[in-house]
Amino acid sequence: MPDDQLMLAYAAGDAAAFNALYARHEGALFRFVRRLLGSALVAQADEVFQDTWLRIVSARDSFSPQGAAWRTWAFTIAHNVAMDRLRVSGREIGVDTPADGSDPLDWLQPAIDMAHPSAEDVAFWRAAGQQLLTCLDALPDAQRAAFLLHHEDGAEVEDLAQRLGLPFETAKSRLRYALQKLRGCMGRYLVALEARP
Amino acid sequence: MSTLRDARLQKALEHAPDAALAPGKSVGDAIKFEALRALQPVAVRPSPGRWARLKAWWLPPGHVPWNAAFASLLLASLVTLVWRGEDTPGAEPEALAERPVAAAPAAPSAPPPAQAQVVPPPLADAPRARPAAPVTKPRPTAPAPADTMAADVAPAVPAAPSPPAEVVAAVPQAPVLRAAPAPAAKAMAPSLGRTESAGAAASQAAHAPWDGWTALRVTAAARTDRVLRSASPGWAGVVQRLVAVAVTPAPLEGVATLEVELLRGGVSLGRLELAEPWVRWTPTGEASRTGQADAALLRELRVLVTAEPVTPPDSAR
Repeated sequence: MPDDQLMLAYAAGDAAAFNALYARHEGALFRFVRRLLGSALVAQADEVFQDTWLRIVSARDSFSPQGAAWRTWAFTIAHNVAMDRLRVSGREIGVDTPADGSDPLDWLQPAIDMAHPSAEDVAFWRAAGQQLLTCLDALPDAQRAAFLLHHEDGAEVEDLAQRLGLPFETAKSRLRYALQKLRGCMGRYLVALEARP
Repeated sequence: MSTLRDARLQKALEHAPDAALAPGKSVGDAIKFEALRALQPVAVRPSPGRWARLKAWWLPPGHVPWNAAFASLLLASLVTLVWRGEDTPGAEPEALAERPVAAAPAAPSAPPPAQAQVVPPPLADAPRARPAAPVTKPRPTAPAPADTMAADVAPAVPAAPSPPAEVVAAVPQAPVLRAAPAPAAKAMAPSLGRTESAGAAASQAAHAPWDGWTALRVTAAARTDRVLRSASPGWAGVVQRLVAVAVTPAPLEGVATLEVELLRGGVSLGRLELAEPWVRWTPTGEASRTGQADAALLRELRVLVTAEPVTPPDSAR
């Protein structure tokens, strides 16, 4: 049964439908929340995750399948809850500054170069993922959110702009800045990834 | 649809170490529980308990003060019932109302009950006297020196111990049980003419009910006048001393040449008769007592009778 139908069934009183929805999206939503919060607030991931689901429960009657898909709707709720938490913690900073040629992640480069694993390492992918998490952690919250929504939830740029309440160009720029910084941060990992099949 | 997705980053993200992380089981259980509870119909609120009902009665929603009115009515009824047996305080000058009422010698060894009597206090003092009741309980106190002297003179009469200082101090609020004046006065005046015992008796007499007199009716040489206490303050001390020397229950020797009646509100409180040097004091409703006044006291009395302005009977209160 599609997500939307499960949500409608739950809103009609079917508790099993909610359990099915939860089982289907538990891991993805938890990862998204955890990565969006970053390492500084990782201890609050469980709480934010639970708040997200409780908001979903509370808003069950307002969910409409004619709007966004359930997954998009749920990820937007998770994004809002996490961003609220980041805002309260004071981590959020302005992100829409144009590139001035100085990469704020340049300082990461020496450390990354020293920690480069061999491309032959069986744990290469895992190390690349860890490096990406480290790079994500250094991104501004809004750019990190844009990247995660785009890459993890699969939101297109137009959809991203709508969900974040931003003009299309602003959303696109935010995403572009995020990618630019992440590519710089990943360094040789990307070269190795390109060489891999 | 626009996309800026980077396949390399996407792939790295999918292989990140936290890709397999999941929330704790307790978190999942709590979420499912809340989701299930949200589907439950609102439970019927349990009926309030006894205390809740009592509180609702005591503090109704509109806070209509019927309960307070009912409580006030109950309190007023209680006060009325308690006050029912009491006399209504009359209109009386405040100074008189607050005057000490009577010496209240506690008398554990006091003579038989017939010699003790209950004297109603001034009406205005009644409400105040009630709380001080314990003060007047008989106490086994050591006899005062005056008692010793009384025993010398009249051993047949049981001596009443003089009241302790604290009792005398509390007399204005004390109720009313007191020893009969005659034996007490006798005990305190062992011999006629003894100034110190007369002074003690005068001190005790200052608290007697008759001391609340407000006017005197003075009859001398076939002439009767009324004297207001407020107009002639010198009379108060002389009357007290005259009463104090009259301690012996004996008849008056000779013919009385002066009669002074103590009045209060038109009611006679007692009568003094003088047949120099003898004085007879007859409190209203009690037995007469006789004593000998000294020359100085008689001189003062004569001065008052002859020199004090008198108030015409009609204008006296």
